[in-house]
Amino acid sequence: MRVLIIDDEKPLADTLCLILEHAGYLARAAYDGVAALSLIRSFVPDVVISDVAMPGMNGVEACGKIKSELPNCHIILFSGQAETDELMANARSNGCNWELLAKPVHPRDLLAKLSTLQLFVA
Amino acid sequence: MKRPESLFSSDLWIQALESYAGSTHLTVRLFDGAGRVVLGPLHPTPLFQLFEERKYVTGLFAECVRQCLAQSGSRPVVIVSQTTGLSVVGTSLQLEGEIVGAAVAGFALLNFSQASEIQILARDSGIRFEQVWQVVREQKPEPRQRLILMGELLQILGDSLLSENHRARQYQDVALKLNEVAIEKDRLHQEFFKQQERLHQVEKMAAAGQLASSLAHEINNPLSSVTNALYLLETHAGLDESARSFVTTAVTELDRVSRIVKQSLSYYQVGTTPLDVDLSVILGELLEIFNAKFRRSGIELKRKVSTRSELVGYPDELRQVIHNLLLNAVEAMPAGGRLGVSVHDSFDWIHHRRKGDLKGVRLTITDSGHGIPRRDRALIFEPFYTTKTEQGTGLGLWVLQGIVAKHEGVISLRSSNRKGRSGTAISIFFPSHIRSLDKSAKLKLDSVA
Repeated sequence: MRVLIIDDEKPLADTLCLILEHAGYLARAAYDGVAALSLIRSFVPDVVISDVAMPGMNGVEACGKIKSELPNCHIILFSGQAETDELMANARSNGCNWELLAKPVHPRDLLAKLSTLQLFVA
Repeated sequence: MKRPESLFSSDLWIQALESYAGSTHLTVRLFDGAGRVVLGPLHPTPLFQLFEERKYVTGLFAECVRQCLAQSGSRPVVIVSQTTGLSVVGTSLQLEGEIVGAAVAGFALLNFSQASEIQILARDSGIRFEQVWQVVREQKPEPRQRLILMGELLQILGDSLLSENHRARQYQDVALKLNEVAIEKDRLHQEFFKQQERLHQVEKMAAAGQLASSLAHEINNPLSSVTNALYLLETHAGLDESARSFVTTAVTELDRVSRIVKQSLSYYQVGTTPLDVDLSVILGELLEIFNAKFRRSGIELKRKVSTRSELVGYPDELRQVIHNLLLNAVEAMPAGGRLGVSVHDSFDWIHHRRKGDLKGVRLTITDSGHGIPRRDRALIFEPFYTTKTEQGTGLGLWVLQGIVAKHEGVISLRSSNRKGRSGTAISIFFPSHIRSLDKSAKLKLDSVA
């Protein structure tokens, strides 16, 4: 399964990539929404795991654009900030049903989540 | 106009000044232009009597008179003289542009707030501390502004009595009415300062909330990175046994940090979407987590939990409420004791008489700990107030109160310090629905593995 990590915190994104690779996934990291949109042309993810609050384009916006290009891509959002709830409330009121995980997310929890998703990915 | 022979000895003066003294609760003394006492003390208060016996304040009155008389030639003045928290207000009296005397009205406490100041007063006056303390506690301090207003009123009263005696009674009535206005003005001043203090507190709380929110965000990202790095290290093939045990310890402690961040600071990540919550499930999960702590501390748990106790609320914040209460109960029983927890359907019996009104869920936690001292009970919900000298942040119960208010809940607290019967019981009622919310905003919670 191909997983794209989007987070402006480079150490977080890079260590998560390593964890996913060790667990047998193909993983890439992008450090902002614009870079992610460029990356998906060459690396087509099955799952996108994105931080919400990022400078410039936020995670909800970036994933919205990814989803419009890759409708079958599964989106998971994570964040640790109060403003996230506002963003998510707006997104949900527009029909968005992506999961939101609260940081810090333990790697074993994320791996367990991905393993359940694997059953549904073509 | 002919100057009266005996300015201060008439019945009219005495009557007017007694009335003035009674309504202002100040001891009134009157001095003539030569600084001699010509009337009073009228309405001697316990405070005045205490210090007058030792002649301690004679100097204070005299100093006030001296200052009033030194204003000769200028327009009437009001002076507030003070020493070690005791105050005297005086005013000069004029007749046909000439100062004929100084009326000294007040004898009051001003801003006595600490035992250390009382000690200085006791030492300087040669009166036993306990005696001074007793009287000072019973007499309310007067704000400086009020004493100045009283001095102005005394001036109006005195000047009117000096100028035309046959109209003095009329002026006396006016002066007393002005006195009422001054007292009301003073009361409004006090209210204003209280409101300012309340606003300051709210700002403090908002700042604390913002600070905690920023802190949580700042911590969460590096915390995530460290969690990931330790996870990678723990599974690294090149690690020997002893190094792996160090990593395991680091992982365990970091898990603790993560829980603390989520539970303590995550409140400030205010949820805007309420969910269906079963409080008995949350309580059950937390009791599992606390189980080891109960055993280590010698705490005997008695639980009475309904199978389903549902309400609409914010699950993370409700979890934090229960966590805080359990933690406080455990910390109140360092040598062990009894802990009771119950969750069941209930109604708000504080605000509603009938069982059918405002249904919901009641959470009760009781402990047989040392109890909350009476002097702390009104303050424990204030931000940054803590009785835990080392590890307390002072935010726990303040946060809890905020969460309960968000759920439109009601907190009731009982505590006792009595030996052999000490302990605390805290009961929180959560209504089934938060009435101020639109029910259509509810979502089901997706569980995360």
